[in-house]
Order: sequence, then C-alpha cells, then structure tokens
Amino acid sequence: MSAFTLINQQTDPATQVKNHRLAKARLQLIDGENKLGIVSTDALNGKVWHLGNELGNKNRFLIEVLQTLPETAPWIGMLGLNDFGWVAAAEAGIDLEKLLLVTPPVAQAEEVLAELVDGFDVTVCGQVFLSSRGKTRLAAKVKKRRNLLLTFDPWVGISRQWQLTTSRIKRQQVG
Amino acid sequence: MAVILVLIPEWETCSLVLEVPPGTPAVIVEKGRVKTATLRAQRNGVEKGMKLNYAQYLCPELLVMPADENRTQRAFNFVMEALEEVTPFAQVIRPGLALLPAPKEIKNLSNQAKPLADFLNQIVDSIALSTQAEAYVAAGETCLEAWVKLNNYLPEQPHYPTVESFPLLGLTELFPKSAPEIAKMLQELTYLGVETIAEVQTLGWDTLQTRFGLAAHQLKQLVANGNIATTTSKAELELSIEMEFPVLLQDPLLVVGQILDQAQQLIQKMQAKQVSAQAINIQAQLQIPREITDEIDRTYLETQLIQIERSWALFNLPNATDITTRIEWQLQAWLQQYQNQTARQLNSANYQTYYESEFYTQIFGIKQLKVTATGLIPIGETIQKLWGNKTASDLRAVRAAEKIQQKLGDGKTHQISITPGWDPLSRVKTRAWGEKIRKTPWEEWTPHRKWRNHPNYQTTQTWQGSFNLPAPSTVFQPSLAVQLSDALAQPVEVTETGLLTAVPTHLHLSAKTRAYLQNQRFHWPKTLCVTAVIGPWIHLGKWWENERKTGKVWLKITVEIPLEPADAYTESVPPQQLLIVYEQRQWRLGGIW
Repeated sequence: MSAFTLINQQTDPATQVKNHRLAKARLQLIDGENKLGIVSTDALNGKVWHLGNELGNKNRFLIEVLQTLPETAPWIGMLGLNDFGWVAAAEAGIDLEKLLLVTPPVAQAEEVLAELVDGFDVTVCGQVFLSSRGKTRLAAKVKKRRNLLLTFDPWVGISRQWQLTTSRIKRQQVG
Repeated sequence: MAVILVLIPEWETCSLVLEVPPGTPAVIVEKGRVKTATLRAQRNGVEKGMKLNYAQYLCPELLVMPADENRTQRAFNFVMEALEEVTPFAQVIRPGLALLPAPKEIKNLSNQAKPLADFLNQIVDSIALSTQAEAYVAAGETCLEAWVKLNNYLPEQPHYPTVESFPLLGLTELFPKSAPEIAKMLQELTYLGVETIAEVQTLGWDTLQTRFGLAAHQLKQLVANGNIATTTSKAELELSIEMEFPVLLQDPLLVVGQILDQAQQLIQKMQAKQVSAQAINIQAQLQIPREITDEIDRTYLETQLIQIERSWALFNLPNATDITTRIEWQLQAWLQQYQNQTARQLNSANYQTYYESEFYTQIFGIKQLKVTATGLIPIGETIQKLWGNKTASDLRAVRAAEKIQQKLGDGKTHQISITPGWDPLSRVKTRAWGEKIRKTPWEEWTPHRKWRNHPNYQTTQTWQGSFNLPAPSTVFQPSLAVQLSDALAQPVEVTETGLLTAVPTHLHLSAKTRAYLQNQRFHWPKTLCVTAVIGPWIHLGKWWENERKTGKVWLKITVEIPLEPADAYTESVPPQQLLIVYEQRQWRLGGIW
C-alpha cells in the first residue's frame, strides 16, 4: 500500500511543487538559524547523532559537521574511521592537536568508546560493531556527560539524524 | 575565537558633533575649562584645557555643554546601529570602542587576506555612512592582539611589532573608565619599571595577584583571553533577570532602585553558581505608536510592540552598580532613539497634541526588560587556567587518552599531524599519543641568506608540482587499482610530456577495488561515466631516481553515479569527484571529495 501512495505522490505535479517549495523554505529557515547562531550547544549536546542515510561521501559529511559545531575547539575522539582525509580536515579548520584516533581490537570497542565519551567533547564512532545493549549504555553515558556522539550508522531507536548543516543539502537541492 | 575591535578615536568630540547642529562650534566644559572642542570651534582658536571665558571670547557663538557620560553613550548607539547592519553580534566595551567576533568563514587573519579586508571595509563604510565618524578596525586572534594592531594603525603612535612589546599603559584605554583600580595598577607597575606585557608575564601572575588582587586577575584575563574564551559552559547556567513594568516606562531614572535590586540578585545568582560572565545582554520590549491611514484618509493611532537588544562586553567580575548604569544608559538611548523616530513618522501636528497629552504616556514606553549574563565561565575553570596552562576539559581529555593508551598498549592510539609535501596522501603523519612532533631537518631548511635574498628566489615554488586543490575528504591508503578508457574503449595513457593520449570517458573499477568500496558504503557499478576532467598535474619525482618510480600524474575527474532500481525513490546521488593518480604506469584511485 505504502509503495502505491508513494508513487501517487511522486506523479502528482502540484504536490511535487508544493513539497519542493516547502523543502526550500525549510532550508532557508535552518540556514538563517545557523547564521544567527540560534542553534546552541545545548540543542545538540547529550544526544547521539547519525550522519544521515544518504548515499554520498560520509567522510565529507563528517568534516562538514565538525566544522559547523558551535564549540570553537572541541576535543575530538575518533574510532573506527577508514580512509579519512586528514588534510581536508585540517583545511576545514579542525584542530588536529586536539584529536585522538583509536584503533582498538573489536572486543574492546565499546569500552574504549565509553572512555572517549567520558573524556572528549565530541566522539565519532565509525564502522564498529556494537551490541544493542552497549549502544543503550553509551547513549545513557552521553546524556549524563552532555557530550556529543556522532555515528556513521543509525542506531535504531537511539540516534537521530543530523540535520543542522545546510550547506551540503542546499547545494544539492536548492542550487 | 578571532575578534574584531572597532575604535573611534576622540569619541567624546565625535559624540558632541553628532549631538549639536552640524557646523556649530561647541565645547564640553568641565570645571570651567574646555574638555573637548569640535573642529569648527578649534578653527576659531579654541583649544583643550583653555578657560571657558577665553574660549567664549574667541568664539562668541560657542555652544557650551556640560560633561555628560550619558550623552557619549547615547550617541554611540548610532555607531552600534551601523554595526548591526553588518553583524548581529556587536558588543560595546565602552563608548567609542566596540567588539565583534570575526565571522566563522574568515580563517586567515593576516592583513592581506581578501575576505577579511572586505569585511573590515564594510564595517568602516557602514559607520562612516551613518555617523560620518572615522573608525579604526583591527582583527586578531585575541582581544589583546587586536588592540595592539589597532594601536599600530593610529596615526602618530609608535609601532609595536609584537603583543609582548606593547606597553602596559597602552592598555588603560581598553578598560572602561569605571574601573580606576586597573589604570592605577598599570601606572604603578610602570613606575616600578615593569613596562611591557612581556615583562609582566615574566614577573609571574601569582606575585601580581597577591599585590593587586582583582585588578591583576582582570589583567590576566585580558592577556590570556584567547584561552579563556574557548571554555564554554553548560546550559543550566543561563542566568537572567526579568522585569515587567505595569505602567509603560518612559524615564529609566524612575526605576533605578528596582534595577539595582534585580542586578544585585543576578550577581548573587552568579556567585551561587560560581561563574563569571563575559558579557551581559539587555533585551527590552518597547511599545511605540504608529499612525495608519485607511482608504478614506482617516488616521488612527495604533500601538506596536518591538523587541530590541544589545550586548555589553565585560572584562571584570561585574558588580550591581556596573550593570545598573549600563542598563540605564541603554534604556535612555533606546527611548530617545524611538521617540525621535516616532516624531519623524507621525504627522507633526498630531505629534504635538499626543506628546502633550496624558494619552501619549499610555502608548509609548518600555514594557518589559530582560537582562541575561552570557559567555559564562566557571570561576573554577578560570582559576585552573590561571595556575596551570590547561582547562578542566583539557585535563579530562588528556586523562581519558592516557587511560585508553594504558589499556590498549602501544600503537593503538594515534595523533595526526600534517607536514608539507606534494599530495594529500603523503602529507599525513601519524604518531602515538603524547609523542612529540618530530620534524625532519629538511622541513626547517631554508637556503642561505644570500640565495634567499636573490631576486630570482621564489618561496612559493618550494613544492614544485604540488597538489594545491582543496584536499579530498576520503583518501585511500594504499590507492586502489582502476582503469580509464576513452570513447573507443581504448585505455588512456600518459605521454612522455605528461599529456593524456585521449579524453577519458569511462572509469572501470577492478573487482578488488569494487569490493573494497562496497565495504566503505560506496555502492558503485563496475563502469562509471566520466563527465568532467580537471588536470593533469605533473609531479616529476626525484631526478636521481628512475622517473618511472616516483613520478606521478594527478587528475580530478567527475563521475555520474547511476541509481540502482531499488533506490529509485531515495535521494539522488550527487556526481562524485575523484582523485586519480597515474603511477608506475597504472591508474589508481587516490581519493574522493
């Protein structure tokens, strides 16, 4: 059923135009909020965020997210990152002096993530296997510490999608 | 965070010019002597420090105004209005001096950087347009650096190449006049022979703090301000006071007592939470009358509520009187500004009648007031900063990193550093946590002075043929095998002169490459269409080696990623830009933007 409704929506030109305009207006709003700095640290901190379910380059998205964080020079802990473009990160103004990259054995990943959440302002969790209980525990820790945890994969029922960077979406859709 | 300081020298004179009718000779008089004189008055021979009688003799039509701190403040509101057209984050330090954070886009703070220069020009133009005052602006990593630069720009002032060589007495102007103890401390230190910032730093802060107390703490906060600004505090520490006036407020003097009481409460709250504020933000809701005309030219008077706000920078631990005077100034400035605006907007006859009547007092005035302490720094964190060089969050992170390192053993915790080099692959160096950055001798090597000063020497060409585009955000190490082919399905090669034999139209991924990419969530088909090619860049390699070994050719190509049928309704994939390397007679995928 849902597939049919989806197709109907797609084919109806009036709805399409409306949706497009709505999306455009939403983007302008977010952009304005970002420019004025209304989005505060508190709206982001203490939650687990995943970097969108887009098909594009996740590393690019991560750099953009780190660049737009309201905190000026946070301590960043990273785990499970592959082929990351460090030069691009440095060019984007990320302080590599305050960054720690950890490559733990699979069994210890959760433990290390917990330590990172404890000590670092921003923790990035790349491609790591975690049990769902472990994820819940980590989310609770993040909430308590009021830090930021960014993940590449969505954590079902825990993480929410990062939507606050507009630059990329804007280029794509509004042009 | 980088800051920009905006200074209008001789602000008192400028404010006088703004207040009196244009072209009038006017003076401010204090204790029977001329304190400041407008340009017109100066042309008539009036000078600073002259007796008033003599000045009036020289210039009979002289307008004499008493010294009034409120006027200088009110007039500065025009400058702030002008600044607000450029940026919403401007703050007043004292009348004549404003501070604003540099926009995030501006990363390069050197004088030659174009975006910065544009932004600064915009500020100066905006102020010049609205007030005709000449403003000096300077940007710096910290407030202190910006102040030193600003002083270097001022005409007829000695030039100080570094922040350290800046004299202490030059800082007096930066602090508001309400803190005379700082000026006194700077004066005393100068008498004792401690004249520059570098000398204060060698003296040690603890000695200073024992002798001068709070004033030394404030100086320390300024000198180390760049560090302090990075420690932001958490949400629950937002402190504010709110006031609502049952009758619209038209004269802030009527509620000074009330404001003082509230300010006291704010200070107490701050002390209870152990925080100090870097700025206070004053928000007010103002009701103003508006005239509207309907179709048959009947005019009505309508009221409108508007929200206005302004931030004040604080360098020291504020006290209640400080906050109260600032609020008072600000309210006076706003009231006057909007009264003028209403007068201009309303019909002049109407305005007269309204202004006289009781009715006017019911429709014009301030309704609500909210004062928030922003930029809170926990006092504890500041103090840690005072003694050591690290904040609480630094210590926490370092401790966590050491703990992980102990737990996992060597070789599992890395820090990244970027070295100079040809391409984004070879510029990355990893080192274990806590290890010092080791610099190879050639990184610091420069030619002999004789050659450096030679007219043919070019510093920009130290990395001949280096990759100077923005770096790709995904870099494959080692790079992945791919193939490029032209429209006739012939493989594309590189000629001896470094040119391509044909225009590449297709990119073929080998099975291994595809499997690897799929693992990294790039679900690409076997063959991709190339839509654009930028390059090639040629990196010749080392002349003493076989050129086949180290020589490389770089290409930046754009490919279309076709959608798989299952993904037809998801968001479309934007075209990807890839970095392709030709080394050892093979095409390889180096990175993805």
